[in-house]
Order: sequence, then C-alpha cells, then structure tokens
Amino acid sequence: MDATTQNIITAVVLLLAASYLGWRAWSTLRGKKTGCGCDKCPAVKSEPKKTP
Amino acid sequence: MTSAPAAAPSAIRTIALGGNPNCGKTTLFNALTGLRQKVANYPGITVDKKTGRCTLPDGHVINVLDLPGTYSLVANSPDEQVAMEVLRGLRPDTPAPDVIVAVVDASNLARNLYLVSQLIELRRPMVVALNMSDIANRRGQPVDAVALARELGVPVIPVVGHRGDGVDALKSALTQATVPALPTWLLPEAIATAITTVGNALPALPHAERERFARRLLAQETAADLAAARADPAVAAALANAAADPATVMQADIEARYHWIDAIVARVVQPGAFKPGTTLTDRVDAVLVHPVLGLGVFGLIMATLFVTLFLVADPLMGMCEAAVSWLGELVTGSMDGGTLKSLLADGVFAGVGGVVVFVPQIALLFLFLAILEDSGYLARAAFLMDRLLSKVGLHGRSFIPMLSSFACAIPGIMATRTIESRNERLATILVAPFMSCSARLPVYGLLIGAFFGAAMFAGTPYEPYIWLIQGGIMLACYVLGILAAVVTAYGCKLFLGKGAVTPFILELPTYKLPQPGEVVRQMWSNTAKFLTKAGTIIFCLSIVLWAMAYFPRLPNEKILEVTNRHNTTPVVIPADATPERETEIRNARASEIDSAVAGAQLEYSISGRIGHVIEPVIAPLGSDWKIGGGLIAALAAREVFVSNLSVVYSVGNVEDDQTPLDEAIRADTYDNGKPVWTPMVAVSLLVWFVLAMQCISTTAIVRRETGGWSWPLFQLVYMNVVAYGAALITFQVGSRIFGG
Repeated sequence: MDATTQNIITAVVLLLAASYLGWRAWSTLRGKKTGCGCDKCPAVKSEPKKTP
Repeated sequence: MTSAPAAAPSAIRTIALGGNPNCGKTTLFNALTGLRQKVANYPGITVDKKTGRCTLPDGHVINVLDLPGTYSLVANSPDEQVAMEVLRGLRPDTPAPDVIVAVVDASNLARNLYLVSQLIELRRPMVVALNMSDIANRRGQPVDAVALARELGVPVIPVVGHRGDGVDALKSALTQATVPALPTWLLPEAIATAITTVGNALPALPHAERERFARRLLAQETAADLAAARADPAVAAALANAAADPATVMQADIEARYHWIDAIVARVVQPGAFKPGTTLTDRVDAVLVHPVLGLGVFGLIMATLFVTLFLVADPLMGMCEAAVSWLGELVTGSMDGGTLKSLLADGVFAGVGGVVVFVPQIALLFLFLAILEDSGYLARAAFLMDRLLSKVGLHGRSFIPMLSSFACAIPGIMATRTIESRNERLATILVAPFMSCSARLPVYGLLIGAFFGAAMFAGTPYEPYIWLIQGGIMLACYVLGILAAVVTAYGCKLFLGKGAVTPFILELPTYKLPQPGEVVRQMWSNTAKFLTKAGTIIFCLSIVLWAMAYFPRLPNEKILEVTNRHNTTPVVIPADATPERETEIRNARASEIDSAVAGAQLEYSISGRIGHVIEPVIAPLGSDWKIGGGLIAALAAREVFVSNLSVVYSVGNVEDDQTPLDEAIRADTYDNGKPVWTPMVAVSLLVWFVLAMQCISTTAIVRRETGGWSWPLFQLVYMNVVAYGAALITFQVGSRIFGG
C-alpha cells in the first residue's frame, strides 16, 4: 500500500473516530446516553430525577 | 367476598409486577420475558421500572413492567414513588397496568400481604404470584395457595422464579385475573367518623371510593391523585373539622390491615415446627452480623478477594498480552511502514490492547462480587456498615449505591433513589465516585504490577510475598477511596445537616448457594460492558490519541539537528574489532540516533506540547509531560490513561518489537539518566486516581439526579483538588522518607 493511500485511509478513520467521540460526548451531556459505553444502564431509559 | 369477572385476554396490554423488596420480582420478570435484568440476593436492586414483553399461551403479546420493591403504596423514596405511581396509573409516560401481578414471598406471607391489602384497593384485575414457596415448604410452613386464592378472591399461583416453576401457569392465570372484592377494615369509631366526615365532602366520587380517598387524605398521603381533592375548600374544611391526627389514622389503618392479614395467615399457612432464630441462616448470622466478628470477617473476605485478583489473574493477563501482541503482528507484520501501519500498531493495538489485557482482573472482581451478592452476604455487609455510615451522616441504604459504584459510579448514583432523606441521598451521590470503579482497575493493575511486582522484588526476601504485597496495595487503594468518602460524608453532615432521620430497615435475605448460571451471567454482563467500552470509546480515543502523538511531523531540519547533536563524537571502533562487532557498534549508534529523533518527534507532537504546558503543574507530583498527557486524556475515562501511555510509549519506540508497557515505563529515563518512573511516582499516581473525578459520564448523571449543574461542578472541583493535594503530599513526603 503506497503512502498516499495509507494517509487517506488514516484521515478517514481519524475523522470517523473524532466524530463518534464528539457525538458521544454531546449525547452524554444532553442526557440521552450514559456515555459510559455500555448503553445498558437504567439511566439510559429513565427520567431525570430531582433530589426529593 | 365476591370478585369481579376476569379480563378478556385481548384486553390485557400491560401487566405490572409489584411486591416487597427482594421478593423475587425481577427473577420472575426475567422468567416471563426472557430478559436478563440484574437480580441479586438483597433488596433495592431495581430502582426504576423496566419493561419487557411476554407471550401468553394464546399467542397474545403483552408488556411486562418490573417495578422497584416497596412495602407500601405510601412512597418514602424516589424508587418507591415510581412503583406507587405506576401501580396507581399516575405516570403520564406509562400506561396503567391492565393486570397487577402481586409477587408475594411465601416465606414471609404476613408482611407481604400488607402491600396486597393496598393493591386490592386499586380496583384492578390482580393475580398473586406466590414466590419462594420452596423456602416456605422447607421451613415446614407451606402456604395453601387454593385457600389463599379463596381468601383474596384472586388467582394465586405458586412459583419458584429462579427455576421457572409455575411461570406457564402464571401466564395462563393472567387471563383469569379478577378485581378482588374490598375487605372491610375494623377501625376505631373516632377514626371511622372522621373518615365519614371527609368522605361526605367528596360527593363526586363513587360511594365505594370515598372512604379510601378520605382515609388517605386524613393520613396526609401526598400522591398526585389526591391533589385535586386536597385543593377543594370543602375537603379542606372537612379535614379541619375531622381534626384527626394523621399518625393515629395511619396507625389505625395499619392495625386494621394486620388484623385482616393475621386472620388470613391463620387459615392458609400450615403451622409448622419452624422456630425463628434456629435456621442455618440465623446461626451463620450470629457471626457475620456480629459487631466485631462480622467486621473482621468482612475485612478478611475483602483482603482475600484482592490478593486472589493478582494471584489468579496474572497468568491470564500474560496470555491476553501475548494474544494482543500476536494479533497486532498478524495484522501489521506484512504492512509497509507508514501512517496506517503506525495507526494500527501504535494506536489501535497498543491503545486498546493496553486496556484489554486487564480484562481477567476485571472479570475476576465481578465474579467475586456476584458470588457475594447471590449468596446473600452483601445484605449483611450493608447491615454492618449502617453502624459506621450513620456516624458520618450516611444511611445504611447508602451502602448498596456505594457497593454498586465499585463496578461503575453511574448505577451506584442511580441506586441512591432508594434513600429517603434528601441530604443523605445527596451525600451518597457526592461520595459514590470515591469508590474504585472498574475503570480504575487497569491503572491500578499497571502501576502496581510494574513497580511492586517481580521486577521490583526479584532476589529480595520479599519475593515469595509479591501477591500479598500487590493485593495489599490494591486493597489500600480501595480503602483510601472509602476513607475519602467517609470524611466527605462527615463534611456533608456538618454543612448540609443530617436532615430528617430515617430508620434503616433492611430485610436480611436467606443465605443460599450462589447459582452458577446467575453468577457467570453477572460476571459476563459487567465484563462485556467493559469490553464494549474498549471496543467503542477507547478504540476511538486511542485513534485520536495516536494522532495527537504522531502529528505534526518533525520537520527535516529538526531531524537533522537532532541527528547532528548525537553525531558530534565519532563512532569509535576498536582496532581489533571483528566485522560483526563493528556492525554492532554502528547499529547501536544508529539506534541511539533513531531513539533521539523519535523522542524529539513525540515532544514536537500535539501530545508533547500539551504535556509540556501542564508539566509545571504536575512536576511537584513527580510526573513528567508524558504522564501529564495521560492525566489529561484520562479526564474522558480513567482507563484511557493506560491507553495513552501505551500509544505514547509505542510511538516513541523505534523498535518493531512490542515492549510491554510496564517494561517500557520502568526503562524510561530523563536526559540526565534519572528514571522518569519510580515507585513513589506510582504511589502518587495511585492516590490521584483513587481520589480524582475523571469521568464525564458520572458528572452528567450527577447533573440529572440532582437536577442542576451546581452539585456536579462542586463535586468535580472538590474531588480533583483533594486528589491533587493528596498526591502532592504523598510524593513530596514519600520521596523525602523513602527516596524518589
């Protein structure tokens, strides 16, 4: 594989990884996902709760 | 007593499982739906409703709601509020259940029937699932399900949830669910009069409903369905006129229900030879919940756990490391050098592989915790902790959230919903992230393994005790987190006040042999979460971190400058050197120059520049810019510290062979030859990682649970300031006493 092809693939992978992380961080702070990566915590589906 | 007819099968869309804590609702939910929600042998696991689907024998598919356990429909904590609102049909996001399945623990029938007595008043079709009938039978106190069905006027189905016994019969019985007839409560005359007075102020309600509403209003229940009636001036006047003490009304109500329950229990439970205090559980508890012996056993169990973590996991981790290395070589071995090869070898395999090798330790930790959970021991541990926790302003119920936080702070913080007092709940939320979560384990494992392992103690008298030393340090990390939590909780008690004192009522479950299937499932479920995170977030972060360590590339003139700096002295070849020796000497010089160029490249990269910017802040902790870069990266997730070091040391390594990270960090030196990493640096970093708040997800969940940004931001600043101070003192004092 020549250097140019390697550079292009690397750039695409890097872009995808950065986009995924950005989306993940945004979702976490918006409260749509837990962000811990598991997607299985009850927090994903539950309502936000005020401390009573 | 007569009951309303059964619901038509097609009319059933949603059923709700309601019952006391730890009566087996979630086990039954899993058996009905085929799902795998977490179950454990202690109360308070389910803190929110969960939904699944179940197919009835006629092919009809229904929704099944699993609810948090509650002893009564008068909610005292957020989790009980959820159960109460769903069962009463008060939640806008959840349909009212068409059938209520009252899950009843047959071995504690009287106490479980109290909630049933309230569910009856909801006037919804109901079925009773008589769970744990095997335990009641074993105790020689079998419950006559037919007689109980006759008494309650609803189908009663004996089930053993964990074996799936009776589940098919329960599904069939759902179509036979009936609205039970209302019992008559024998209340004192004064209270009955007060109820009538208030009931007369509710003319819009059907006659049968008035008494129940009046009783709840008099007892000052706060459920949303009473709000309209409470706001009515006529009702307010009637309440004032009745002048009944709410506590007296509630007490009379409870006594009337238990009068009814006792009569039923006398008719349906076969009196056996069972004497409380004589079971195996009671005898074992005499030791395990003893104020002194119990704490000793608890400490021994925990110490054994951590020593075993190193003893058993070490060979497995070696195998993981070899597997990652082999896979990396397989994928990148035949590739030409270049950006993509570096991305895969130094970014993906080093970054993700560096964390994945710790999976055996994490899996073992979860295996031990699952065994302790399933056996019923953890409920005893909570009971023991209540004495200590109450002294620092926490509640006995805080133990379960804190325990959950050893896996991950997020479910731990969610589990605080079982705590009734606002201040105690807030204090628990603030201290939960001090518990060492599984994300810290790779960091602990790396630092303890690298600086307190075979390489450190080989040939010393301590060599045979390496496992004990490593386990002891790991245990010390966990204990330090607990101590920090205790001190913080005490501070909360001083500044927030303890608030209303709520008693800690915890039902101690019967001991049982852990079910291998459930234990393995729990272990796998938690380990899979870690692997999922490694395969998504850590994978992507490793790629980004690699790019930050790889770019921008060092300009040619800088490479030339570094090369010339290392070429100032000529290569000296002895006159009598063989050609092989001459090649060896020349290769050594070339390798030295390559290493210098790689080092300069790393310092020139984005990571290097960021590391150098924060170096003045972390230098007092004994850390260099590479460690600083790792600390910044770990703000996203703690285990990324290990990934970042793997990437940085891999990018900075000119050799093709993959040196294990622990060896690489031990070999790293400053320009003056002094080692970058020393045992004191490792200890200082361990202290930092125990105490620091480095998890965006936890901050986000604290915001949600506290309803704003003030508390999560306070927590973030407080924990990191404490961590920095403690790490600084550790390094400065430690290096003066023990040396660098």
